[in-house]
Amino acid sequence: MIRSITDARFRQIVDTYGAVPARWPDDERDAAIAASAWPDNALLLREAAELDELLASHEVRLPGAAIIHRIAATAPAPRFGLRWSFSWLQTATFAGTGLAGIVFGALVTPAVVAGSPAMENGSYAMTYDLTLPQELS
Amino acid sequence: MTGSDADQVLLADVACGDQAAARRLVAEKLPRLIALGVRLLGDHGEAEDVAQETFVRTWRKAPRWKKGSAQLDTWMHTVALNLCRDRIRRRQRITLGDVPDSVDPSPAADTRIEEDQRGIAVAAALVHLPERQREALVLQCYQELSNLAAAEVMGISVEALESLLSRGRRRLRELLIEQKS
Repeated sequence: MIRSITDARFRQIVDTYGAVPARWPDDERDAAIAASAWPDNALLLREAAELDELLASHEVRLPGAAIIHRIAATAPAPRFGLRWSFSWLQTATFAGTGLAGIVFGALVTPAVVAGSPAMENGSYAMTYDLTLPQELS
Repeated sequence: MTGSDADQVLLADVACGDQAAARRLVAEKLPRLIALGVRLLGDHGEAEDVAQETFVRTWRKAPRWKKGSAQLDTWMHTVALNLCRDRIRRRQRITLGDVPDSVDPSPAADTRIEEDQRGIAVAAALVHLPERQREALVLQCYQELSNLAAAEVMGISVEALESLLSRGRRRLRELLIEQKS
């Protein structure tokens, strides 16, 4: 359903936005288009359209390719710094994990093997007891 | 995808350093920003400077742009309008300092406005409008922003915008009649 509009509001819309319906407020456009058919409003619309036409004659030339490229060149460059930091972080993590493994191996493994028969015999060779415990065999 | 969504995708690509996205964004937005500057400042060179500074600020904003926070178009118009206002104020200060040659408000020959007498007359009338009326008219009529967006860019209510627009159109008509006579 089209909302009605007063004659005064229609005049105000045309005085404000001109004669082109696309520029009229969204919520009043349909009502204003209906009101534009009223014969009394013909002169008002014609005067507004003349001013619109004059305004449209003021054109600004389009920018050339040179300025587009010049401005686009000021945009941020690909973020190599961030990528470098990321790969540095990956490398550090990898190295840290490896180092932690070495330290863990150096500190924990001797303690584990300390009670083995091989240690008691003065041998540092790593031994693995693959025999099953008595209760499982 | 709406224009606003497409803008957000482009901006996200720009933030990641995508040069092709930056070129697309500039090609798309630059004509309207330059048109805004030319019509508010009456000088093509200054309009280009304003447009360039607007893009520099857009690049800075790109990584922090929040999805759905605002329309990129509205935001860029707000930035450009404020830059134009700064330049107009600087000119007015220079005017007070008695350097008339550089503050002639009529469009200079090198503004390269189309060689159309009517267009030149309108350009001259526009720069003689009071500042706020000119802003309202340019944003609504030439930049084709909705009344809500134009009011948002100017930081005023729609009612205030309508008042500026109707007074601006009336004054412009008077100026054009004066020029004819």
